[in-house]
Amino acid sequence: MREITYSKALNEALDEALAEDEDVIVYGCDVGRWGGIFNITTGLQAKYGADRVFDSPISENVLVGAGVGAAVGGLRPVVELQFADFLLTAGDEIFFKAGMWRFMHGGAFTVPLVVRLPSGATGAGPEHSTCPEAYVMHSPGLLCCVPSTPADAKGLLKLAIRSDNPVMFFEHRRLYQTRGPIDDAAAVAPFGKAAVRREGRHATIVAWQVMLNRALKAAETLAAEGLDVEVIDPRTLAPFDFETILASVKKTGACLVVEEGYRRLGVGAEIGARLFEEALPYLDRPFRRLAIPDVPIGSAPALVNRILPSEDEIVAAVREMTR
Amino acid sequence: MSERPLIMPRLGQAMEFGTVAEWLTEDGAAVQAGQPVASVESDKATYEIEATQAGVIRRLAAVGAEIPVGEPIATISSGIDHETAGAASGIGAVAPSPTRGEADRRPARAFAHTSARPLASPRAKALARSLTVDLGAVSSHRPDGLIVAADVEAAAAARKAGRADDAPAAADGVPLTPTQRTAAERLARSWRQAPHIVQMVEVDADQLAAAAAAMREGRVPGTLNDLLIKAAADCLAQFPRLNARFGGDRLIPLPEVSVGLAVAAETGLTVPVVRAADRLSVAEIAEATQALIAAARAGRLRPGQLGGASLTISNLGAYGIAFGTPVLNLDEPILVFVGALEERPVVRAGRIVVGRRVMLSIAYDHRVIDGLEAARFSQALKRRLETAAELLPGAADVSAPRLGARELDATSPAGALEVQVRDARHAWTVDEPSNAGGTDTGPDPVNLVLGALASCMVIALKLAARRRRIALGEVRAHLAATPQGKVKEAVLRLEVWSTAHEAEVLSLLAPAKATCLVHDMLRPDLPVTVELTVHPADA
Repeated sequence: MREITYSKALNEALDEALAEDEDVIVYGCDVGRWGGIFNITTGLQAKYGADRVFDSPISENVLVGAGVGAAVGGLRPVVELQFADFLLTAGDEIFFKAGMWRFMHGGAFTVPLVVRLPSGATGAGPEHSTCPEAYVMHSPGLLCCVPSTPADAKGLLKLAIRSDNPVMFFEHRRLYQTRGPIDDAAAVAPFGKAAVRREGRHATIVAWQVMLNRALKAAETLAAEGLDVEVIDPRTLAPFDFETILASVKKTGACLVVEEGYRRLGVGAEIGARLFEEALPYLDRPFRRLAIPDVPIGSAPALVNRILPSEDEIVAAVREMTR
Repeated sequence: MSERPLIMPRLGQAMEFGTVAEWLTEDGAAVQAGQPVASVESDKATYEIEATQAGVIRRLAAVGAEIPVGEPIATISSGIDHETAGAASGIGAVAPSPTRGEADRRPARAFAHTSARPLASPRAKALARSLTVDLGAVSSHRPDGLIVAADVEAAAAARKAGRADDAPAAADGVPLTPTQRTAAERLARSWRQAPHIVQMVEVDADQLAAAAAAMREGRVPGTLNDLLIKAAADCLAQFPRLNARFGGDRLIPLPEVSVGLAVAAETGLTVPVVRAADRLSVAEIAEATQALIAAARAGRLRPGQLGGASLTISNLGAYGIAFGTPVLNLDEPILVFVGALEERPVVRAGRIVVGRRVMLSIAYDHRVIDGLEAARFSQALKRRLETAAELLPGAADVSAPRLGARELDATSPAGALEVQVRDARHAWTVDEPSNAGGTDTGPDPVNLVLGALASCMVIALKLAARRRRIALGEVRAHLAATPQGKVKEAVLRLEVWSTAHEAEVLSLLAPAKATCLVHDMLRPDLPVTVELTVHPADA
């Protein structure tokens, strides 16, 4: 099995999608000649031409609006927004048009749009640091991918492009250079199917992307203390695989959600509420969340690190809750 | 209209059921919230139950009925709907929402126990139902008191183990009292769970015996047990790691050094606890134990006065028991069994002499304390008791042999002029100033006698005034004697403040001079015998 980086996996997914389906187009600021500011689209314009892979002006609402129109018109656009925070800049087109038009028009057409959203705190300040996937999970009509591994990055992006419904595709910037195995022959798990990244019986941790990696490291530390933690990667937040979490919590009786989004009404809040509704008889410990406190994310690395959930905090939280 | 049950509360950690001792209200009577309505007895304590709301009370239990903890003994119906007002589920009040950063760093909040119902996780409750375990009989191992599934499993396992080795129930025989039943169950659990080690250590009890005598004679407050409690608490405070209970996969530190004292009461042996005994003086401990013993004998101990001790003292010395192999109280790491304080032949400096000795048999929970730690604690306690006089106020006079009213002891250490003098009740130091070769730690002998003369004359004057019922206020005296060498002359000037006539006050001087014994003693023909004995000493 070969090993590739997360960014190479995304590039391959776009490359293969462009090759497979001539309706696929890729555009955004600097994605054409430069290959994207994170080099995800490197080489694609040269390979598929400036008609299908091209640069656009810097206006996110226009970018997505054009994508919605193209999708309604029969193409499969893949739009890059450079920073996931601009989800809200393009909010009208994403939440109202992409998310609702198929419903509003009685199913007269579909909206096969993919918006690529590089996310995560890298010290670029409050408007360029968030992981705003909870907004998408909160809103009807949108699908939401949060791949954590190169294999999922490639597999989920290809599924997203093939999907007839709009997909918000969150790529974590701090994962771009991470490497992982990829089995080209293996089938990709569909949307709405979580992955159990580590099995355990004392507590369940739900986490994705950078927080998933921290949770897995924390689980190793805890294993040395005799605490077996089950770590679940949801892979997609909409649709959301609650069944896998429920099955795990029935076993462990304790659940911790670690997320890089804001704490208040975040993904963890939704999971906690679902557990309260559907898993109360199995809960043996108070449900816990680790998330970004409800403050803007600063630029200084010290400030960022202060508020991002750390491996140590995950270890401490599990110890405390399983005591 | 709402009807709320009045439930049998948990009055102690181990309480599983309680007995309705007395109804304080009539059935069907109107009661006020907070009004005592019934008196209930647990294994160890009696407690008044108060109405939880205003309304009409309906009794559900007769006097003498044993009701499991958490089960209703009565209901109170009110005319007003209190459903929403009284949903006291027990989950702690919600903390104010944090506005900044610390929100998700904060550990889960503790669960305040606001009702007598045990607080358990939903999973623990479901498990308790399926295993038919009474949650009231399950104790939490968590610091926040929440009963979790593991606690229920442990209780179920303990119950199974208990069934396996307890004697089968029989129809005849004498039923145990609640105290006896709880004691049996707890002792059996402790004996099963805790690997016991017992260390026996002999204590030189000369000081203990002197202290006990001083206490018996009322010269020092307290009893020998209070002294033992103080010594044990002080020692345990020096070994904080030992002050813990075994919690399965961890040691749970106990919050303070508390000492239990086994007390015989009519209904059985109880162990009231002196909290934070290391921070109390012997006199304060004596005050606490007097109240606890009285409450124990009256069966009126409150739940907070029982259980959770770091260490228990069991003193059967009065029965002539030399040593024992005690069983630890449940969840306590140490028990000190105190044997009889007896005179025994002991070897001192190569000779057999009569010494007082007492044997301690100290049981340790070997899961918490290893043999070496135990030995260090045993040794520390032995040393503490061998210097027990230091624990008491006026340390010097308890360890001294009794002195008569006009007997003195004086000792002077090698290499100094300083002399320590003590009589039956006081101790003082006499020394020489440094220009005379002393260390000036006290008045010199001549000034001491001059002081005696002055004060004796003042006292004699006051006594004379008292006899003649002459009002005398403050009295001042100034004594000046030959400044150096032999005292050839002394002048004593007295000044008094009085509301009486001057002539009356002046007439007191003659009787004062006549009755001042020191003045009388300072005559040249006082026969004084001085003898000298010489002991060989190391070179």
